[in-house]
Amino acid sequence: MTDQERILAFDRELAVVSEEKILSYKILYIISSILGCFISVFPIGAEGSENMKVIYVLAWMFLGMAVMFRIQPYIYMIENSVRISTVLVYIPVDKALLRRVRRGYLRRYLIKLGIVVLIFQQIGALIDGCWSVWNLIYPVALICFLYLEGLAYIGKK
Amino acid sequence: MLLELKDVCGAEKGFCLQNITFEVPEGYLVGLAGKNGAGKTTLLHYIADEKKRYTGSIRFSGEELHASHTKLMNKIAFVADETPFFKMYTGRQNAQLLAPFYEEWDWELFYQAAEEQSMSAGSGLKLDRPLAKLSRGEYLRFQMAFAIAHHTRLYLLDEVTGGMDPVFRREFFRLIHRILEKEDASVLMTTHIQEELEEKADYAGILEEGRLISFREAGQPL
Repeated sequence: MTDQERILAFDRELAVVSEEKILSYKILYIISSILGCFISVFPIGAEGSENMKVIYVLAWMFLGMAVMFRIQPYIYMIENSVRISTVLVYIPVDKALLRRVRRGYLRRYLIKLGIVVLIFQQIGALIDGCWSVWNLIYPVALICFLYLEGLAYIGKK
Repeated sequence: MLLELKDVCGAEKGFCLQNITFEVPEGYLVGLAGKNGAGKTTLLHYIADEKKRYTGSIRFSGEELHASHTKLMNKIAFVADETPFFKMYTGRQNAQLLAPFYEEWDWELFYQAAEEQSMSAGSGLKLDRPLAKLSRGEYLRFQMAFAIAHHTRLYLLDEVTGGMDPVFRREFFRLIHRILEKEDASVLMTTHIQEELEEKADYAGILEEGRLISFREAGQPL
């Protein structure tokens, strides 16, 4: 087995032993993702959009929470908030590779999320008749922000 | 030599480890005694931690330890009260989670070791209780069974005998000697009870304020 395969085997086993807890986090991230995506249909540049800043903040909040719920089970033990890397400190696992695998999960999730947010934003802008290049930049900026948030959450240890 | 430390130095809060040099031969029990704060646990952490926090050289089986630390940790086990495991899960679940990381994991050996460790009369290790609910002795027994299962060659035991009752202590050292005979392994243990080293260890060292002031065959005069 390669080191990466070992980490993936560990993650699969983790999903089995903490199945109920991971399921609850899955439900939370799906709900947050859906809410965040629906809210992001409100297009940047629409008439009255200055008054809708709170809507955009909500979208960022829900999607920010979705990222945390998505990767939390691989960073922290759900039961007691201990970092998994702390438990693995004396186990023969390359911690840098462990973080790289987690960043991989984050990227895969954000690519899917980014595509949905992008589509919703374009739909909203086209329906409102206010499409501009900002409707492309906004989802990209959002996903970049969420990626940085995820990286900070995964951490360096 | 299984483990060789040469001029190991490290600066920690409040003290420095200075020029620690000694060797752990294969098949022997080496003990390090010293007062609290002498640097015993810090030295074991220097060996077990992935990040190199010292200057000098630590070689395991002839290889520089931190050049291939992940690979060499397959053969090193750190056993202590505070060794982190997934305490809300059972011993069996912990083994299922962590076994994939080891190149040589033997389930039969794990169950056999858990069964054989009847350090209190008649009771095998409770593998289906959460580790958080095990007694201190049971938790140590789990760690030893875990270590045996991945064919550990170097056991790092950090003050595990402190607070043990005499019966448990006797059984624990019997286990250690069985491991040394059977498993082609060595043990480096720390304690603050110097008399224990004189009785049980093959080699005894004394750490004081970060310095190794003595290292000799146990039983020889200081």
